[in-house]
Amino acid sequence: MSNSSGILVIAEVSGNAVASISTEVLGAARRLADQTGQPVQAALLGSGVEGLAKDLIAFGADQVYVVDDPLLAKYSTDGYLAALEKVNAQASPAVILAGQTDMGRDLIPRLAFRLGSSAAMDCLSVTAQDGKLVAERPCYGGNARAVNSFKMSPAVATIRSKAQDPLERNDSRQGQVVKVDAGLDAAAIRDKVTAHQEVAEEGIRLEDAEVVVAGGRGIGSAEGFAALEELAKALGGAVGATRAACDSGWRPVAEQIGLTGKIVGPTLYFAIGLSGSSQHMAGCSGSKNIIAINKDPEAIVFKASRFGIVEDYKKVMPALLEACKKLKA
Amino acid sequence: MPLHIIACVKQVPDPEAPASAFKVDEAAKKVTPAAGVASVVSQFDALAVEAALRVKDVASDAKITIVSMGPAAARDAIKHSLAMGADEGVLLTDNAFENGDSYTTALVLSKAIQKIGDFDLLLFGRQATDWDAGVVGSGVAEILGLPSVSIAKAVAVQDGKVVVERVLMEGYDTVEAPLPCAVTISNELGEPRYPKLQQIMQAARKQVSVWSAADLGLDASQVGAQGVRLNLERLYQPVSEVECEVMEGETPDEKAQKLAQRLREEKII
Amino acid sequence: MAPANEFPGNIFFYLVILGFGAFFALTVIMRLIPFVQGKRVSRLDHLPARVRDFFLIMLAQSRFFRRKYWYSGILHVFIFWGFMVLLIRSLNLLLDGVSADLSLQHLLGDVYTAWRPVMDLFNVLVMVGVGMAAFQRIFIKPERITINRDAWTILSLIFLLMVTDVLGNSLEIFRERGDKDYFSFFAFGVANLWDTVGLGRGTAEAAHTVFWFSHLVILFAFLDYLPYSKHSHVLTVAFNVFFRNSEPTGVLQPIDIEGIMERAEEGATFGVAKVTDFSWKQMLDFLTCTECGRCQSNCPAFLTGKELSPKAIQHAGRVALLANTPTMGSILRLSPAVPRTNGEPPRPIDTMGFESIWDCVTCGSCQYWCPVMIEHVPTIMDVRRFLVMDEAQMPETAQAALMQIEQRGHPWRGTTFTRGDWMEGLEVGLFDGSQEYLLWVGCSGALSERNVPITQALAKLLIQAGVSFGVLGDEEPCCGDPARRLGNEYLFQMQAQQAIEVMNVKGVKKILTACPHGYNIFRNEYRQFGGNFVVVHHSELLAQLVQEGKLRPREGVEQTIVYHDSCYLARHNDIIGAPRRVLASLPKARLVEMERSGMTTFCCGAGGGHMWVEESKGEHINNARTKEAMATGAGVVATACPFCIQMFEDGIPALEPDEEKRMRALDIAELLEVAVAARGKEAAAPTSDLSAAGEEVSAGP
Repeated sequence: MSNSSGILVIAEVSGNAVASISTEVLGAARRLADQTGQPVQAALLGSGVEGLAKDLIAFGADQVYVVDDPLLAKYSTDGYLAALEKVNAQASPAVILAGQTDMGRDLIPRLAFRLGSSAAMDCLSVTAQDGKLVAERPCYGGNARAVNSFKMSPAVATIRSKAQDPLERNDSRQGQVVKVDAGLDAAAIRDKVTAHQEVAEEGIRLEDAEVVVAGGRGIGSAEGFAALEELAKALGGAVGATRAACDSGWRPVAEQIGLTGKIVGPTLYFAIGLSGSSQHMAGCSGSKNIIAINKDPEAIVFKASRFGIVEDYKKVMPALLEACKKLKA
Repeated sequence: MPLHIIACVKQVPDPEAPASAFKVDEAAKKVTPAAGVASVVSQFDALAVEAALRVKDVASDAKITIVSMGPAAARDAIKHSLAMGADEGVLLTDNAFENGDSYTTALVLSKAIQKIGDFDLLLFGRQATDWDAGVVGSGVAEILGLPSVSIAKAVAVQDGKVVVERVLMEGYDTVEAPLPCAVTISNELGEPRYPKLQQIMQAARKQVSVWSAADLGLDASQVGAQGVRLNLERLYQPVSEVECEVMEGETPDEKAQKLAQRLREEKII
Repeated sequence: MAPANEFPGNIFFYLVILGFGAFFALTVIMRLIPFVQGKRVSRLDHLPARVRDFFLIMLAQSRFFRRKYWYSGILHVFIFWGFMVLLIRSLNLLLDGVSADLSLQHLLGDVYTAWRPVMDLFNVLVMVGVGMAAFQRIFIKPERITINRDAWTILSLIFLLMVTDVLGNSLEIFRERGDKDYFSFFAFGVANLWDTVGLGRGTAEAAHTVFWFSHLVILFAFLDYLPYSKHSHVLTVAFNVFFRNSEPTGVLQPIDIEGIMERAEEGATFGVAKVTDFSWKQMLDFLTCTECGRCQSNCPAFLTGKELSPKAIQHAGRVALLANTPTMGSILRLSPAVPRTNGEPPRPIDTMGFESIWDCVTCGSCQYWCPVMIEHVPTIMDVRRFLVMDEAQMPETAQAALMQIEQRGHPWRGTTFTRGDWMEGLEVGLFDGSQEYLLWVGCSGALSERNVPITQALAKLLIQAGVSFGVLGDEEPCCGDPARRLGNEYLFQMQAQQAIEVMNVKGVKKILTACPHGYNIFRNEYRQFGGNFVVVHHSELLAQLVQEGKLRPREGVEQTIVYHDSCYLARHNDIIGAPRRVLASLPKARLVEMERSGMTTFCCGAGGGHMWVEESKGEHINNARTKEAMATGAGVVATACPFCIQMFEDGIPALEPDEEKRMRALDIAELLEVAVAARGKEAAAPTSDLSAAGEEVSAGP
């Protein structure tokens, strides 16, 4: 622990910019740094990404370790691990943070083990207590929270998307850019991506969606579901339906949620124009947040919801769609 | 040489048990086992077994070994997997294994896998549905120095390498890696198969070895509570809001905007 | 004197008998071969009852006196009794053909004479019956009846038999002028006709010979044709009735799982994979089906547009059976032993179809209406068992339900209840051997949101009436009914054994249950595994408590109530009066009935495991039944089954979007509780509120 100091954030690139998750992790790192008086470092890996270093500084990094190498153009487990080992050797951080993303999930457990430590994944917060890192994360399907501290150094963690706020971008911030030679051996990178497939317009599988917009008998018609489809699209989610809606032929049976349909547990579940019978609620009770929109104030669904709007859905959806689009932008 | 696949499974308390049955004993830092809550094979682990079986559907002489670390009751998780069509099981059980973390679990599994030896493919669920960590699968690969691919929706073996469809936020990648390799499986793989009765009955006759820490060459200081790299400082239940917050507003538009604002505040969107 | 008594007639006579007889014998032998290979079952129990039913059902044609098919009933009774009565004439003809001294006319003398008018009457009645059948098939054309060449061949042959009988008889009378001939009044009348037209002696003799031999040939041709036609029931029905199922109709037979495992190498399967896996009785069913279609016309799946037709299943069974039977050609070595399609004879699942096997809700309506005692449901279930246990092929929802029971010990995935939650606030204790009844709450009663209030209402009533009872609480396993009805016999046996053990260990003697499926299982099926209990349905006990004055319904229940009979309660277990007595005791309640009630009740759609399986196509069965209930104008539909009520709770909002106008669905316990204004041990309000659209009755999505 003695030689290591600093909070290293493994930054991700999305398109030609810094991924927003990385700005959030930087924000968390900055807050940790302020608590502990340690510098915030960032690792920027990729090919032709050097120009983004200044953005990382603008979002809170004091030092950016850039590993620019054609072999890092696409993410690979072996390649990125090797590169980060090098960065770690130079930066010698006490804490390593990353986002809970496709890359983070894959990379962090191995990186932590490689450095003789272990990782706390999908954390909601990371704080310093008595100079040591403490991470809080959900477990048991969200029913419980675990608070972990680290026996070994560096302490490694991933942060859940939207759990932390980024700093205000400040282009006048000063920082150091350090180039690190990856020294990668192409032959040592064992995993190779041979094809890439974007998800089709149909959308995400209902069971996998983080956001589900479900409608019931109250929608009234197949056409009525168009509003739900738009909301789902805006939030990157999927459309679901109650048995009544499927029976009426408004939605395909594959979208039926309930006891004899799909069981889903998304982060966000919109229950629109459905009364909340137990047959249906059995299919969505695992949702983290249920939002009910129903014109009947006595509808049972409100008892299971965290938020509700008592209104005819048709009157609410346009404004809700706009507001959600703004949030996601 | 026939393919040898090792799939690791964990037995967990039923994640779909009624929320009212879920209680945390904060003093013991454990979940109180509730009466009437069944123990099931962790959802993604069952899919790992299914993935192994799908490989075997193609390479019919492949052998599948199931490994599970847990109390004696974890034997049921192994038997269920044997009923689905796996060939052999290994139960790793020892008081010394208790109260460990992802690292100690990965260490124990790695030693067992090394002891079994001669494997081509290691399959894991992407995370266990109790701790939800998602560390063990990749961790075992790291300890054993193997390539790994995580969050798979399809696994196939071709000419000494594994071809994996890896799930991404916006689609999927096709990734190839040489054998031996570790892969963690995600729910996009589909549904685990329902065993035929004959297979269930035959499972009773399949071999399940039982190994302790000593059998793996590990002593208590390396595993369980003594070997952890992550300390559990606290385990608690967040107070759930049962009250439904109804949005107030003069107009429907206002209510909608209020809702969006609240969702933002609660960091849900 | 018969035309066959002398040369050359006698040669022809014996040739006919021997030729047709040999063909018939060969046919029978070949047909029996799969029977010998089939599963052995014993149907020799309850012999006095079997004899009684043989008389009632077969000879007295009891099932043909049901009002619904009165027209077919009349025509069949005419034809069947005619067939029985005229057997005497046929026998007489045969014996007479051998020698006049052997004829019945000669041997029985006056007895035969007394029988002659009866026979002539039935000559007429049979022809009337055939005429009625022809009329029905030409003009009325009911959907249930198969009208094809086979059907017309049979009708024609029967008609021709009558014609040749009457004409031959009349010519014999014309020629021989016996003094008692007027007893055969109809043939006597026709004989007078010959007189009137001045028929010549030679012509008469020739005509008599023609009709005599025609009758003989047609009789034997008919006999030989029968096994090859759908009319083969003539040969098999006596056996099918005598060897009928003697257990309650809701019972399925167990499988010897261990035994089959031991024979797995020889290809033994748990369900029916090939046609010889059926029992001889099931095979006999296939050959006894006349394709009358009463089963189909009363099948809730068929009536709501599904693939399943019980008649088609029997036909498919017959096709598979005959495809696995050697033929004449194979006997004569002209063709292979068993005809093959693509190298393999068809299996029952191939001819019956996956969808049909899964459409069945095991309501037993088919078996109730079948006049020839065919057991449709066990045959379907045996193939379902094959699909589930041997092939692991089933609808996704069925698979999910079975996995639920396996992993969680109950079928209600997503429930937010635990087994003890309903007891909160009630003074209900655990069963410890000292109480009279074990109240079996059931998975639905404890874990299904709509049913928890019913359990609570029942408990309050029992407490008020001072009934001694206890419950198993968290220790109560799933009784296994869904597993058995979904075809997983193995899972069922495990659950049953577990349940029986728990109950035996606690010293349970009497089980009280609010669930007809549980009732059926405990009462009729657990004894297959050594569980013998006295079982009472809550409707029976509540009716008794009211009658004994231990429960006094005083509060008015001002509703028009229509009672829906649960298939498993009414048709399978004969409990029809008790729930009605409970309802009749409610002050100010007006009771109405649906036409399909009691033994003819129409399924709610949840049977056969369908509580958890989505219907394949067509109208939802529960919607069809809800419509029927709503059509009575009742404000309340009363049920005595946890599945039935959930089906109504789904159907009612689907058919009536306006909440104000909706019919309510309530269990008899809930209704009685309101009337009794049960106080229990604390002055608790009734679980149900009939005055307003109460929240306890969950409105569907």
